[in-house]
Amino acid sequence: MKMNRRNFIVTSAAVTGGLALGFDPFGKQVVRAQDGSPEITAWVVIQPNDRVVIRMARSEMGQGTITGLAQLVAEELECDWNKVTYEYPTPGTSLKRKRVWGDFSTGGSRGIRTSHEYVRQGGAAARVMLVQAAANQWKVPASECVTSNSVITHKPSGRKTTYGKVAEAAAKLEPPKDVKLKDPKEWKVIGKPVKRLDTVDKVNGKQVYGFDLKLPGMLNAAIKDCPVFGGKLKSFDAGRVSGLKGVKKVVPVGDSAVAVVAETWWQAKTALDQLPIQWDEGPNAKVSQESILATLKEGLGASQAFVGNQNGDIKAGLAKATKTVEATYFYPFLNHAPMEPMNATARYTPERCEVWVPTQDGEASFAALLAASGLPADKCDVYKINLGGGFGRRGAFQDYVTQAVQIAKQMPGVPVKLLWTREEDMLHGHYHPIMMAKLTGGLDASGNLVGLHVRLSGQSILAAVRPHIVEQQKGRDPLTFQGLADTGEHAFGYSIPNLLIDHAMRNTHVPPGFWRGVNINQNAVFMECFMDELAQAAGQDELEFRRKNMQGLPRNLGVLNAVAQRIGWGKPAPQGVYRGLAQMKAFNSFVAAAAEISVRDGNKVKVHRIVAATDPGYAVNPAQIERQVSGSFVYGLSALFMQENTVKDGRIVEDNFHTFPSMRIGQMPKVETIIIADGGPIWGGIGEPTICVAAPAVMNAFFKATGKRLRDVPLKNQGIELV
Amino acid sequence: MKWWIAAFSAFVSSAAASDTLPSPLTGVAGDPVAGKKIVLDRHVGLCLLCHSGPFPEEQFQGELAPSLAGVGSRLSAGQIRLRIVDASRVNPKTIMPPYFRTHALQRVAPAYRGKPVLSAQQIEDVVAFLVTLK
Repeated sequence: MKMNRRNFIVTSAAVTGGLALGFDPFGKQVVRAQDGSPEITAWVVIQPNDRVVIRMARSEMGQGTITGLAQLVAEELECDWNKVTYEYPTPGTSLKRKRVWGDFSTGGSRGIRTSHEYVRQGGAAARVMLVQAAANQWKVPASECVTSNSVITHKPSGRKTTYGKVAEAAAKLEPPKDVKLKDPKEWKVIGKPVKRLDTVDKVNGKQVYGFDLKLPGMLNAAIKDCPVFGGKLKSFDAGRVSGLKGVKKVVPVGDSAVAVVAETWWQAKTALDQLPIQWDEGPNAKVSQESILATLKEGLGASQAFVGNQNGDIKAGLAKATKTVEATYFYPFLNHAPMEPMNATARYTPERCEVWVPTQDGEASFAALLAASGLPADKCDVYKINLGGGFGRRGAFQDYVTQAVQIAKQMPGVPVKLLWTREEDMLHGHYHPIMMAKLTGGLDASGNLVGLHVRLSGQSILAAVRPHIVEQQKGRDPLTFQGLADTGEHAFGYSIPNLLIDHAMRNTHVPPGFWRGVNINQNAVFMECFMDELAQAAGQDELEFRRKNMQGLPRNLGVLNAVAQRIGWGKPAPQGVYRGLAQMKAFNSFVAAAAEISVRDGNKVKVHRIVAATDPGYAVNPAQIERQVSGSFVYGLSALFMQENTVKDGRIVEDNFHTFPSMRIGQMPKVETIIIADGGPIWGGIGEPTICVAAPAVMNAFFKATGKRLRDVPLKNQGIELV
Repeated sequence: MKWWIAAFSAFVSSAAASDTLPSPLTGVAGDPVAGKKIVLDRHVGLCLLCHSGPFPEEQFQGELAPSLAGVGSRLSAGQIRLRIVDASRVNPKTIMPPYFRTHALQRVAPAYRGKPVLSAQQIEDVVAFLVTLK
């Protein structure tokens, strides 16, 4: 068979989809990969040629988690890194094997930090079994054998063998119960900037994304959902397009959408454009940006609010103040807008339903498939495909899987690929929640901060997405306080004597979602810009003022000091260049940024340089951390300067990249990354935390440059351009 | 809309059927050296996104459109000019963007509305260069 980009995915999906259970009459049951190679542990398959296939439940979407996780396994396995490849187990297989691979969810910057222990154990157990198999063969104690780069050596005799040669025998052994993991001081692969496992396939085009998947006999679907959230499909006139070339069927999807299925996607899309559709837009069609903003403004002064963090007595603290500072900030709705629009391919028969999908959470896709198909789990499976961007859109939200199965059910036996248009993707996102904040700070005569009230007013993600958590918290959404919380992975980074941070929950009909960094993006803008406002009102240096309010927060202080020192805080900047700072704790990592900008004509901002420090405790692949941090600033700065979704007549206005632009390469600042990894009991995340400090650092530098304080995101609404 | 763009829109309409736009867009003769720069510059003309050409030093040339090699033998200056100004006048299904049309475009970002991709003089420079590719 000629191997090309198209049929590659069919065969590789079949490989990753099938882990055959082989029965060996002389030993334990050996699990085999599709090519017959034995599985040592669930994480490790070793082929006779010594190639190591590491299996991971998390999804790769550019962030590098697969390479990092494979490094963790390879470290304990002591295998030759150059022989490592990876594959995804399917959620269906995992379920049958009592979820042996753990959580599939790839979000919340959790890929490494919540699975490092069990994946390392999977690698360590496999190594013990391989060594035991060699020792059994040589009839020597396993303790006399050492391993390095996939080679086992019996030290006293000098005999050698390879993992590939003993894999069959090792697979028949019982896995050890308790395996001791290496001391971090012994790490050889963890902490090294090894090359990513997926680069070659991306560069040579072998990597297939969901939206270029092709299955034999596959048809293509284009879909339109009611443009007003909450609206319904009333009727459509299929007869008007059913005669068009290639069109196979026009089908309702759920109660709010309609799809055209055709031979090619373009035929489906152009037919859908011509299809007369009647919507029942419902009462939400009356909602506008103005009505939403009015609700949020009301929340800023509302008497009732959910408390996220408090100490001391805020009223008494503010009453003592000789000077009070007050400011109101705003952060908008934002679509994830990944380069690859939402898509999923489904094939349904009453006996079996399968879905191929780029997903951040294979198990969430599986759950959506089960609900939409109505079939039991043992008749279904999901084949994961690497993502052309996720950023939080493709984890908890599986609307495209539900739709693909609903369409496939109306065409049994035929694989149907559903691909959203960019417009559909822009109008039916799960948007960064809209939020305002009013901050009130009190300073005493010596310029000490004696009280701070942060009132958040806006949308809750969890109320819409995880209502049971909000119910447990008596209506409060704890996630709203990311970076401002009293304790935990998003604990507040200041020690302020009288403090109240509360949230007037003002939900809208626009569905909210987890947008890269989630609520730290706006909370860092609110808090870190306001810290500058307070320092300036107190007549103090912004760095010194922060330091005074960071008692007992050594790791927050560590990253702040690191960026201040590297940017040259306190020393003169180049002519016309101004600096700003920000710090926060997010996803168990401590992050800070210092920006250098210049401003021309009062509104043209050039960001020259951002120094960004991240302290995750452990750095599995420092090169990947640098790329993650730089990449996050593309998103963070695009959002700061130029992106916003607004609502008119109940629907989203910005429907493509001409009105929802991204920064260009020439606008990208130089990013200098500082990684602090001194160990400790808790591992921090990387994917999201550092994004949040770029925006406030730039906004603070803008004030230094112009004397004008920016409080509304995006800055384009104030005529400010990124150049 | 600037007067000259409006004027040329009308002018192009009248010339459309003839497959050529013989009159230069400006009174200043095109500069082939400047034209070559525009053709090769990925931030200005971006011609090599779709076209390839006799530019061995340039990496990653396009493969969506005809090679520019020999374009000066195949087409006259007027024919080249019309194709740059608005290739859809020659082929309504072309994917080549109109470099001098500002109306009836789709999804133009606010910052670019009402502005042609290249100025009249830049187009004259490009024409002056392309006719030399014999």
